Amino acid sequence: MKSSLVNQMIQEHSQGAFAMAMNMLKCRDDAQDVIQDALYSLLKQPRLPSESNQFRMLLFKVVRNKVIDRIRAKKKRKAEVLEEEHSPSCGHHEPDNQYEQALMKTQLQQALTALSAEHRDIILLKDWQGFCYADIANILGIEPGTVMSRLHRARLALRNLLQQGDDK
Amino acid sequence: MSNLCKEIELMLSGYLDGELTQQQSQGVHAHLEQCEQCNKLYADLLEMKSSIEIMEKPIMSEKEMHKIMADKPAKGLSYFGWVLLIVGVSFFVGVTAYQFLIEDSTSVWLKLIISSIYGGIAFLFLSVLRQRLVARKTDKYRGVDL
Repeated sequence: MKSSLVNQMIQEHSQGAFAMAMNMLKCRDDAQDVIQDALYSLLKQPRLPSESNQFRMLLFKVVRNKVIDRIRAKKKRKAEVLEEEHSPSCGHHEPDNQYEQALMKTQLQQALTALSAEHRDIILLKDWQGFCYADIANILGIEPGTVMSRLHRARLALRNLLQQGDDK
Repeated sequence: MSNLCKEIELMLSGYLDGELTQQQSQGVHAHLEQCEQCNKLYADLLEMKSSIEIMEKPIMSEKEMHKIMADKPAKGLSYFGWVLLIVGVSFFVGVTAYQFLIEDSTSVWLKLIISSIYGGIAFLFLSVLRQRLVARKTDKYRGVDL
């Protein structure tokens, strides 16, 4: 496959994948490392999809797996137990302050942060990144039939959190 | 909440995302027009979805992007290395085998036996190598660490 096409697809979709990695890792440097690592893995593949959407899906899948690997590795390294899977994990304890502040800006973002990783990821893949159910199933490695019900549970949980926030 | 409401509720997300069949979609649409409770839930979900859609996405600067792209591994260099190695090894094996076969001090029988042993090892090695290469090309989980 022409490398210019691959380069073009990388340029086109890396930012979105970075946003997703950033949301999961809450650390700019880690997110960039993960993107680089993911691109390296992808470029080693003998066959890459030439269709842009397929490439994007594959990129997100690899990025997500790398993020999870990274979080697990960090958990192993640190003796302390982190509260939940996607908690802030920047090594130097000074996560991207600007981003953190932006994240806390709205009630919606607070509620998303409070959501379980499983629920947050599926909502973000659908509503933030605009993937269809079939692609989400592929990225998360779940049955296509499970996507709708899991997404719905996730949305109800988010709505619940938002309503709790309103009641306070 | 009626049973119908429960059924419809399960499909609300699919309806919202346009992932239902036409028939299902019509069913949900018809129910939403009659049921205030489900309609309220639908409105909430729609509002949430719209707010998430416009949520800011952090982006990499040109410089950061360039750094990631520029650090791409030297694929060509390693390919060149492999070619050199394979050519060198094949040449060495070929010359050694040729010299062994034309020299006179060993009997023909012994030559045949030794050749078959080395030949056997070589073929076994090639068959394993082929198997690995096929697996490498077709394994869809390659490069995925999970």
